[in-house]
Amino acid sequence: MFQNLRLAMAWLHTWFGLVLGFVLIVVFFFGSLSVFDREIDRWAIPASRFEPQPMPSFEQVLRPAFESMQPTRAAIDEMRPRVDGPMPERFDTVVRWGAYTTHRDPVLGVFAGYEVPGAKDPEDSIWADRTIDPRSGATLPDDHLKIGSQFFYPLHYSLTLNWYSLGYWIVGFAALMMLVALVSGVVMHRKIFREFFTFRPAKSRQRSTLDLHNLTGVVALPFHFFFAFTGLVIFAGIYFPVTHTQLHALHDRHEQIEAQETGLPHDRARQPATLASVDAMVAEAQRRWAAKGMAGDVGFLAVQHVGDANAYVSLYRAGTDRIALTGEGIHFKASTGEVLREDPPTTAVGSINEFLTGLHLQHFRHWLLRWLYVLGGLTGCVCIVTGFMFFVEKRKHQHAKQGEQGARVVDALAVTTVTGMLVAACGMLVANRLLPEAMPQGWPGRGDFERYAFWALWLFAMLHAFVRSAPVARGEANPAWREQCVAIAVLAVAAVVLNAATTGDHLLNTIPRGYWPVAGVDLALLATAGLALVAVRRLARRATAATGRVRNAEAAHA
Amino acid sequence: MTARIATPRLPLLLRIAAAVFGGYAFAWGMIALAIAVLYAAGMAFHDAEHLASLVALLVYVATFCWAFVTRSLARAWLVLAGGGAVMAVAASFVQHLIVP
Repeated sequence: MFQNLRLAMAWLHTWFGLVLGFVLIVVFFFGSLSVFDREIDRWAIPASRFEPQPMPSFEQVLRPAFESMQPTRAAIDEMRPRVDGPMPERFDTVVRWGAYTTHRDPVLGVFAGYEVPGAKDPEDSIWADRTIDPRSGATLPDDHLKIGSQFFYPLHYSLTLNWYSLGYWIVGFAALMMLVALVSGVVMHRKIFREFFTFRPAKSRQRSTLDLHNLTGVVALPFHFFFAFTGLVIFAGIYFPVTHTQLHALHDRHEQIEAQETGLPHDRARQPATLASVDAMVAEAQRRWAAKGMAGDVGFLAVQHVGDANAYVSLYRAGTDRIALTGEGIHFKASTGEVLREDPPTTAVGSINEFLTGLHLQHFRHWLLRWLYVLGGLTGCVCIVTGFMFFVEKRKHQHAKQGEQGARVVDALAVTTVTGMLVAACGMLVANRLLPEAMPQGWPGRGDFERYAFWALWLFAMLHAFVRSAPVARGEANPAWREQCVAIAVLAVAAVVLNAATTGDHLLNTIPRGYWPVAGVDLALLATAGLALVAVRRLARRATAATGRVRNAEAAHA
Repeated sequence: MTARIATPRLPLLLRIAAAVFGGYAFAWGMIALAIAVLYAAGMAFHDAEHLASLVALLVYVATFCWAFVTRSLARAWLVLAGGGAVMAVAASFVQHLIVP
C-alpha cells in the first residue's frame, strides 16, 4: 500500500498525529497543570489556604466524620440501575472507610463505601466522599470544586467524559498514538542527531516550525515516551480488563488464596464487633517504621468491614521519600489492635511497576523535579502545536489555490485547542473568584457553575476560531490566534486581580510570607499573560507586514 | 513529509481497523496467555498481571506500526486477530487446568 517504510511511517505520523494531537495537547497541558494540582486547589478554595497537615487523630477527627457520612442523592441515582429491587434510603453496612493525604494537602479527603442490598454484583459498593479540615474535623462545602485535583487532573486522564469510561479510552488511544508518533517520527527522520541541534528561526516559517517540532520532539523524546507509556500502564486494568472478564476464575482463586495467606479476611463474618483504638495502632505502625529507619507519616488509612468481627485496619506510609506511592502497609485486627500482618518487601516486578507508575504520579517530595515535569509537559505542547502549524503552513497556499477547506478547518481546531483551551482554563479561575460562596437554594452547586464556565468559554473560543477563519482559505493567518491571546492576557490578569480583591492574598502579601502555593499560581498566571502579550505583538507585526505585501502587490497590478 | 498517496478508501480503512482492533485483540490475547502461564509457573498473580501488560503495551505499539508496513492486508489481519484469538483460547485452556 505504501511504497516504503518511511512513507508508511510518514502517513501514520501525519494523520494519526493530527487527529489525536487535538486530544494529546489537552492531555499534555492539563497533565502539566496537574503537577501542581494541590496548589491550584488551594488557590481555588481560600478556606483551604493553610499549611499541609498530617493524618489527624482517628478517634477525635476521622471517626465522627466517617460516622456522619452518607452517599449523595446523585450517587444513589447512579447506583440504581446496578441494583435489583428498590434502593434503601440509608446505607449502614460499611465496607470500607478510607482517608488519603500527601505532603501537599492542607485539607483531607475521606471516603466511605457501603454494601448495597440487592446489588447485581455483590462486590459492588456505593461511595460517599467528603473533604474535612483535619485540624477541627469541620466539613468543607461539598460543592466547592478543587479545580486542580478534581477538574484539571481528571481532564488529563479522562477528559471528564465518564459515560462508559469513554474519556479513558480516548485518552488511552491518544497515548498509544503518541508512542506511535514517536516511533514513526524517529523512523521518518534519519538525521535525528543533527536535528537535536537544528533550529533556524530566521528561515521560512514552515522550515522553522518544523525545526522546532523536531527539536522539542527529540529533546524531550524520553520524557514523552515515558509519560505516554506509564500513563497506559497505570490504566492497563481499564484498557485490558482481562482478569475481570476472561480470567475471572483465576482472579477469584488468587483472591481466596491471598486472603488465606495474608490472614486479612476477604468477607465479613456477619458478627458485630467493636473497634479498638486506631490511634494506638497508628502509634504502633509508626514505631515499626521508625525501627526500620523510615519516615513515619501515615499516607493512607483504611478500615475494612467496619463494625464486623472480621474488620481490620490498614495503615500505609506516605510516599514523600520514595517513588512508589504508598507502602510498608501494616494491618491490624480492628477489634483488638493486634498486628495481623506486615506487607513483605515488594518483588522485582512489583518494584518496577511501582517505580513506573510512581514516577508518573509523583507523590514524592522533590520540587525541582516537579518543575522539570511541567517543563517537559509544556515542551510536549510545543511539539504538538508546531505539528499543527506545520500541517497548516505546508498546505494552506496549495489549498487556497485549489479552493479546499482542509487547512482552514485544521487551523481553526488548532486555535480552539491551543489558545481556546487557555481561555477556558483562565476563565474558569476568574469564574471561581466571581461566584458567590454559596449558590441559592435549588441551584446547581458552585463547582458546577465553574465547570459550565470552562466548557462555555471553550465552546465560544471554538465558534470564534471558525467564524474568523476565512483568511486561512486565502492562504493568510487566522486573526483568532491574536484575538484569543488578548483574551488570555485579560483573563489571566483578571484572575490575579480578583484573587487579591476577594481574599487579600496578593503577591505583596504571599511572596514575603513565602506562601508559594498561592503566589505560584498568581505568578504563573502573570507569566501566561506576559507570553500572550508577546504573541499578540508578534502576530500583529506579522499581520501588518502581510497587509503591506498585499497592498504592494495590488499597487504593482494597478 | 506527507506524500499525497492516492489510496483506495476501503483497504486503508481495513488496515486502520487491523492496526487498532487486530492489535488490541493481539495485545489482549498476549496479556491473557502471559498471566495464565506466568501464574501457573508460580509467579505472584499481580506480578504476572503487571509484567504481562507492560510487555503487551509495547507490543501493541509495534504491531500498530507493523500493520501499516506489512505488504499484505490479509496477513496483518491473520497475524493480529488470529494470533490474538489463538493466545486467548490458550489462556482459557491454562485457566481451566488450574481452576477446573
